[in-house]
Amino acid sequence: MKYRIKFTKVDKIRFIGHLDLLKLFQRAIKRAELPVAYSNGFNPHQLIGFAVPLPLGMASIGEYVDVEFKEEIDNLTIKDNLNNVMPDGIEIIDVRKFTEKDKSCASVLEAALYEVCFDEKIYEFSDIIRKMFLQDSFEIERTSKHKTKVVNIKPDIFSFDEIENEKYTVFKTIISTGSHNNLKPELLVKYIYGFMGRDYEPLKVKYKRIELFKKDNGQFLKL
Amino acid sequence: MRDDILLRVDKPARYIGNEINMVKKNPENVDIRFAFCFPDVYEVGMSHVGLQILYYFFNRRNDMYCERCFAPWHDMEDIMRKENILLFALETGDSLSKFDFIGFTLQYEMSFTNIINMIDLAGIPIWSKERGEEHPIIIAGGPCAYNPEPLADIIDIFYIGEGEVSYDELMDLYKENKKNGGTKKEFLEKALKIDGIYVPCFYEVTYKENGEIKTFKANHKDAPEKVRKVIVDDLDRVFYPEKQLVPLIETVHDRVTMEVFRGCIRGCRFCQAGYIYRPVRERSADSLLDKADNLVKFSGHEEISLTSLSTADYREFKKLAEGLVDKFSKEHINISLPSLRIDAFSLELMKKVQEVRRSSLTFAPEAGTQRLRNVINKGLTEDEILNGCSLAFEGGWNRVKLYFMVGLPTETDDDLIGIAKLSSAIVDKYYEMPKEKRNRGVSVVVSSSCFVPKPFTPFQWSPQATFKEFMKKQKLVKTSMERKQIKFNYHEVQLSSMEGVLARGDRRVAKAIVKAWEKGAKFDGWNDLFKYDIWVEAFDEVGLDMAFYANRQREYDEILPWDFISIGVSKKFFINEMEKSLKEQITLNCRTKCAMCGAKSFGGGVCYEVQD
Repeated sequence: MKYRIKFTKVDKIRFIGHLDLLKLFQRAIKRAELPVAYSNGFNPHQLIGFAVPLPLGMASIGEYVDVEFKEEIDNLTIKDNLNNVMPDGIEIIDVRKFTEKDKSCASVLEAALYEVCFDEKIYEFSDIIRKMFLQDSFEIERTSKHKTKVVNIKPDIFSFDEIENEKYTVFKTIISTGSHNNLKPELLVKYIYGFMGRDYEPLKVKYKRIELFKKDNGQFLKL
Repeated sequence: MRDDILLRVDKPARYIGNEINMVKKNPENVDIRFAFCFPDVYEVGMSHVGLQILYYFFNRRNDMYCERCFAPWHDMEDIMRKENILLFALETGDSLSKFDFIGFTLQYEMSFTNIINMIDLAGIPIWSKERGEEHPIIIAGGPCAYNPEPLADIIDIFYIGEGEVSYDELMDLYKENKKNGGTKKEFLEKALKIDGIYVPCFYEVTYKENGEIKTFKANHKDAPEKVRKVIVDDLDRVFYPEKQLVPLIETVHDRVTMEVFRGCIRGCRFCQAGYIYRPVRERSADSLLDKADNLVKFSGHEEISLTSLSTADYREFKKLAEGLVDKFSKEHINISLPSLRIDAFSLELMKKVQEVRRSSLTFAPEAGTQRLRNVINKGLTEDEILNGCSLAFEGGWNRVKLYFMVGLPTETDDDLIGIAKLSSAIVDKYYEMPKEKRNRGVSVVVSSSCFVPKPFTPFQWSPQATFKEFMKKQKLVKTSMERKQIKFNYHEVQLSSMEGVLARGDRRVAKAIVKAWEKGAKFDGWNDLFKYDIWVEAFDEVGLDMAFYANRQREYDEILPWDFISIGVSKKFFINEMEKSLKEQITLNCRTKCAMCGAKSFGGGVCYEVQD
């Protein structure tokens, strides 16, 4: 019996990495005394799978994990039992049982919504962005596994909206996320800095993941 | 800790606290704030069972809040120093300087510079005489407190023995004194009357011209001439936590740890732990099985480990191990077994609990020949090792780990070559099996460390080999290894030499430790961070001779820096053991025959067991 669990990772707990988060969930499920299913084989492990790792230090209010239980359990019981044993910063906000159509969250994940906050009010930001989107492509160097190549990230950006804020420049964006195509929001921000002719300063920008999406008939739906 | 700082350091979760089962209290509502400091990095300190016990022991008191603090890693320390951030406790993030007590656990000598570094990072003067009423009281306990002298001018109070015994009395006294507006000095004076408490400022040491101690005297009427360690006599009746702190990041040991007993019946002559924790006191299997339920339930760990100095000597081992397997194997919880004496039962059990994750077998012969094993009273014979290996090979194991020491008293080249011979004999044992049974080949990993003579052992008078001698010895062992199935590792030689200096140091050594710290020594227990040259310079500059502490034969009538501490085991016994050792005579273990060491005076434990 599989369940999809939506949770937050905010405050100080965001400073633990993905593997530690996996361990944290495995132990929490044990403490919550939920009848988790184990894999067969030589080294049985709990059948749980996250949608996608969250970079260390980034906050999120829309993370997902699939957990398989040996028996059917009430959604609310799962939610309450887990919330009783979770450390501050991790909160289960939704639990739903898999439908027949559901596949693992990692395999259907297509995009994520991020909120990006600069530590300043950037002068005429909306104009800059409008001009930026007039270009046919956003070409930037991407480094992965010792290889650097120039890529066009424009097709990976599905929406971009500035958010009203008096003190800081803030925007929301939906971009490719997951195993098929993946754009790190940081690369987009680097591109914006480059477009403005400025150097990127990592510690001056805050990222927060808001939601993860799958695609259904061309529409983005929450996982 | 600020987010922008956490984003800049390695493993930021070391500094965020908020672990599972962390105790939360409002510091405004307590009388005593205590910072439990482990002078090493978070992952090491959080794996320590003593911390787990004392943390909940202190916090069971409503008038006290015990928080934790670990040595920050270099990257964090650099930022803290640059931005003037004082060392803080994980629970509240408050600076240590606000606390009533700062308590250090002294687990190994090579953490001494970290202690100094942590006091300094907290913005507190290092030398006790430079601290005033506004500063916390610095207290220290643990195995290295049994020779507290190298830190005597730094620490205010040493606690000699097991924390459960006298801490309540000490804390009550502190609270009372604080309420009555008493000074720190008044508190320290009153503390002299509590068992197991050593307040070094009330003692004076004079030295002879040759550097030995001339007199060691109390200078306060209430300061006891001998400080006797305090121990729990019935472990089943003393506090034991229901919960364990569960770290949010991977640490050295991530598991439920259960302390099975304290002390050791064996009496290996090199082993300090084997004497200072005497007599052996066991927890009952019933009480442990009882505790296990909650420890597992509240932690969510998938592994339980049993800890003690020699778990194979636990009388109820079978009952406990089988009980744990029955309780937990269905819940996918592994029982991690310590090195056991290899016999049919233990192999059967290991098969049961470890199924396919067949770990390697571990033996600690410590010395390469029977002669030298008799000298050190290590009651493990070559036959036992080889028969154990045979049994295990038949059972499907094919990896063996062996632990040895070099530089033991009376050691000759034959003893060193014996290490290689014994290792080869194990490989031969494997190939004695019919061919169809050996499908994977055998691997023997041999590790040899350097012997460090420790206080409160029969070898406390013995010279340690110099590091040049150690190098020669390790080289001889290495070149004697003939079989390709053997992998040989040896422990950092210079580090052991330095440990040898500090282990038997006196009060004057503090100057050298502080000097080494000033020159940048810290995390000395970490091979890759330890800088021997710094220590050599430091000793030079303060005019102390390392060889005087490490490489000198001491006479039985010399006043040793730790003589004022009583561990219950008499000096006479140690002299007798040393003499027997030179005659290659063994002493039987406590359960077979009482050796009259003196620990019976504590009135409990193995000394009063009814023999079956």
